[in-house]
Amino acid sequence: MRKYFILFILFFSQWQWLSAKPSGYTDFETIRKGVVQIKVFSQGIDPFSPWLPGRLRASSGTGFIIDNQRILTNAHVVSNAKYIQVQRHNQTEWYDVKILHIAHDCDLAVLKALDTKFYQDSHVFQFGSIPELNSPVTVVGFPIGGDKISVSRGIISRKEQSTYAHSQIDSHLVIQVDAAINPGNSGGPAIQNGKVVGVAFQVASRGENIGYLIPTTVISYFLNDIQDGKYNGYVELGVRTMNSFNPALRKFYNIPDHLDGIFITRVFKGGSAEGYLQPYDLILSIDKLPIGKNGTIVLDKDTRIDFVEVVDNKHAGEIIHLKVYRQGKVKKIQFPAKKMLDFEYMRNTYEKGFDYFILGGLVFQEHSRSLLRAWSQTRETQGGSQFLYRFFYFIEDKLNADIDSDVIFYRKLAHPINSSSGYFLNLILESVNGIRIRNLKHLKEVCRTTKDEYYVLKFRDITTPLILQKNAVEKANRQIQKIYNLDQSL
Amino acid sequence: MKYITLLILLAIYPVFSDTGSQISNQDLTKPLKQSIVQVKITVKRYNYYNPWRLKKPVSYNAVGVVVENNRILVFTHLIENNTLIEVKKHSSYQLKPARVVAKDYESNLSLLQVEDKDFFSDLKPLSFATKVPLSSTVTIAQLDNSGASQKASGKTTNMDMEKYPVGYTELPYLNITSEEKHEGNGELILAENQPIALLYQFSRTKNTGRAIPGFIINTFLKNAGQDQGSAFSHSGIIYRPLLDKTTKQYFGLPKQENGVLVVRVIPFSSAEGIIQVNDIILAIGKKKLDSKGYFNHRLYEKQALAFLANCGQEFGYHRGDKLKLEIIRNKQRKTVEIILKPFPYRAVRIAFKNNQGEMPDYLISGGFVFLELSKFFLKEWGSRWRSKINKKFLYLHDFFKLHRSRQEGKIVILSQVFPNRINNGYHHLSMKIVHSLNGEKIHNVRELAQKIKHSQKRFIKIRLDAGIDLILDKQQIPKADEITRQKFQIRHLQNFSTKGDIPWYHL
Repeated sequence: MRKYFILFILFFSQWQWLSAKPSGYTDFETIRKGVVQIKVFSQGIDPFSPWLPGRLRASSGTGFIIDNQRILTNAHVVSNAKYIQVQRHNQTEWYDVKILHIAHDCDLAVLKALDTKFYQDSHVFQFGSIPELNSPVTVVGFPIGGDKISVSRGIISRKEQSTYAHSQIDSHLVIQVDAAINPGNSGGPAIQNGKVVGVAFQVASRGENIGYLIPTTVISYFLNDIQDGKYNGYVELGVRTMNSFNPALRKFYNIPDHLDGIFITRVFKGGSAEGYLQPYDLILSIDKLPIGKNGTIVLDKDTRIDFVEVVDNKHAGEIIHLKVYRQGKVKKIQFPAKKMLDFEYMRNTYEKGFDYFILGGLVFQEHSRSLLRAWSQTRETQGGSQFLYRFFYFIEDKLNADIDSDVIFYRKLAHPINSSSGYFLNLILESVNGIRIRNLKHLKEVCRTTKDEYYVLKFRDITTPLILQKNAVEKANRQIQKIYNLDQSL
Repeated sequence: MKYITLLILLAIYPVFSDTGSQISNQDLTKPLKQSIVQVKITVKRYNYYNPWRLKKPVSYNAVGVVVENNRILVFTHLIENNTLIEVKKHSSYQLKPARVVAKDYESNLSLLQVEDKDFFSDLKPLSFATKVPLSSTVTIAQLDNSGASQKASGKTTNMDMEKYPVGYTELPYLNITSEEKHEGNGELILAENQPIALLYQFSRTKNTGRAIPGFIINTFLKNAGQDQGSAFSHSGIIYRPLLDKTTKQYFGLPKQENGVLVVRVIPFSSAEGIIQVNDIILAIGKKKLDSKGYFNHRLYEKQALAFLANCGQEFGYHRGDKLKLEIIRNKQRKTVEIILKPFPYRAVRIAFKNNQGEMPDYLISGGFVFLELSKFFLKEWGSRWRSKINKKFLYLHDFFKLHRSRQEGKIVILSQVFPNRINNGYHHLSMKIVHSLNGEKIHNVRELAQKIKHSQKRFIKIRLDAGIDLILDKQQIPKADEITRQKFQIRHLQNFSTKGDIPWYHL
């Protein structure tokens, strides 16, 4: 179920230099040697004008030192970073760092200082396990209000799965704390008995003192994943499920009374379960953990949690073992976990640019969350409910059955050739000269190779096509390239 | 029932003779207050999210105009769903009950009759001028609470077309500017003491308003009482401008000629089966169209082709008449003929202008609430409904308000669940589209109810969005329904309007 409050990520986007006395806990002497302030200059790319360099912005966050002279922080602290510096408590120099790995799907990144002097007399943190409810925790970092280290305390309030605001789509285990967490705390360690039990990363906008930590299960997943020098990312089961409480539903599918478990209602294209599970399979257990009628398994003595947590902890290629009740029989079904590339467009995009295609001043792009956001802030979103619907229901309503991505005509670079194309603005392209467009690369290919005199662009849900003359487009493209300062040859 | 009564009553009164186009000289001297009344209307307001509830009734005043045969002209959008209508004239403070004797959604005009036979004794009927002057100074008049006529000045600017507040047919409106504040509830507009229009909308921020021109009023009055249908027809053609030379060339339209490109033909409409998508319309009723679909009207400058098709009476095109269109199809010139029919209500998939005065259809079965998607339902989310509602509904509303073919049905949704033990596990469901029942497509709520009722199977499978199966146990439905009645105090578990049974229009 979708959360109704918004999660805010916590980096601090300007620096204030106020003086404050360092706090003096007894064991804090060691702890603060391992906590790092991170200064970032970042420059993203505006998806609306992907050919232009983005705006430069300054921000800051926190990190901490782990083994192998690495600094762990949040991905969102160093996203789109062009220049990063770090400093520890009582250091005067700022040290340049490089990003070793960045994982946007779990909001973690590891950095390394280029100069080993940075690590002199530092503390290397060890990780603890998932803390118990109602146990105390200390959050250390460099939040708003100054450049000095800050400490706050709280208790573990809840353990649950929640959306990670950085990517907007990924959901993993989180630990809720009531410690004061503020912008700039992002990437800072939450410490219990001298060990790190979580990384502070986001807060809820509604309610008071609801802060979230990334638990050590997610951290170690990330650190294990990058051991081979490359981050592969999370896998997805790729199903929709429904509880199995309803007596009529159970009878209809002949489910014996003694069986618990969760129904599959839909199997997504490209997910791990594709080809293995079917709608109205009742999943009884996963890796021998019994699943309740509401789809949960036991996490620990404190908490039951959604069964996909087990899948979440698997790396690509690891086997998912399920016990399934199908057509009157209990079956064992197993298949390898895999990454679901079809979900990629739903994530916020960082670092990467946005591929685009311009045809006679009509600008096309594949749908992406970043484009959706930038586009929705323009004033020309008329007819855009098609884009919105297809973006949010692309997988669920199987709109991806025979295409890889929607390609949208999201912007027009004004030129006489396209003066009457406004009718089609913000619509999804369906075909060009009768060929169904599967993705942006395909569109480029079709336009490049067509022998026809015209480009006949058919948009979804619209009966009449947009017509462009091939020769006129070529001429216009050269002019548009000049006028709008485009570096890409059209 | 209501409409049958209406018919009989109308038959008693002779049809208003065709003097609409004649301007009577008496109008110039007659005191205005004798021809305008105050109308007090109380309406019930349907709740589209919880159709078994009604919203708080509201009352407001409107301006009524006395017309021939002791009738009062008012706007349909103001008297829709009324529970009480009372009228007050200049000479008395007494409110007299009145009732609707004719109603047309398309022209937004209705007629009232007053029970009290003496009511009209000191009132004089008005008639509207057929020609409407543009760029002229006008008087905007109504009756104030004391019974005196209240006048303000304004100006007519131009004439354009739109769908009136509760109609699906584009009809011409007169643009009015005025420095004074108006309600847009039927204020009479006069030019040189001649009634020319009725104001139906006014923006106090822009100081502009829109008025129904006299010739539309006259057409309505002439036809009101002849039968129950609207006098206004509808071409059934949706088109787009054909401006750029490449597109013209592609579709075979010579450079020097103009026309518009047909993008959709409304099912059941005048043009269905005759006009096709990608046809280019060059001329309609001998009037040549420009690249945006306008022709030159001798009085009102550029007017869209709908002017001829929807209210072409002055050109001799009435409902039921044939209208010739010159088209290019597959690069071949053709002349085709359509028979002018009113807008087909059957073509509406997501009701957005009017619900024909009916309470929304719904069914509560087993605690599950089913209803049909309409704009009225979406607007229950408030003025910012577009950003609040689920994006799928928004998309359907924007792209599929009208049927694209005859076979499509209404969009039936499961809107909410009255929880009980029997529907446990489904309590959280809301805003899901119903796709099928036991594998058969569902076209409307009434059909859903019938299929549930007549199903021979004990378990009924209703397939919702996202592959969710709703299983109804027929043996348990009465028990669940009893809970809905007793615990949640819903007296009527279903409502099906009568609109499907009434030949409101000749479709």
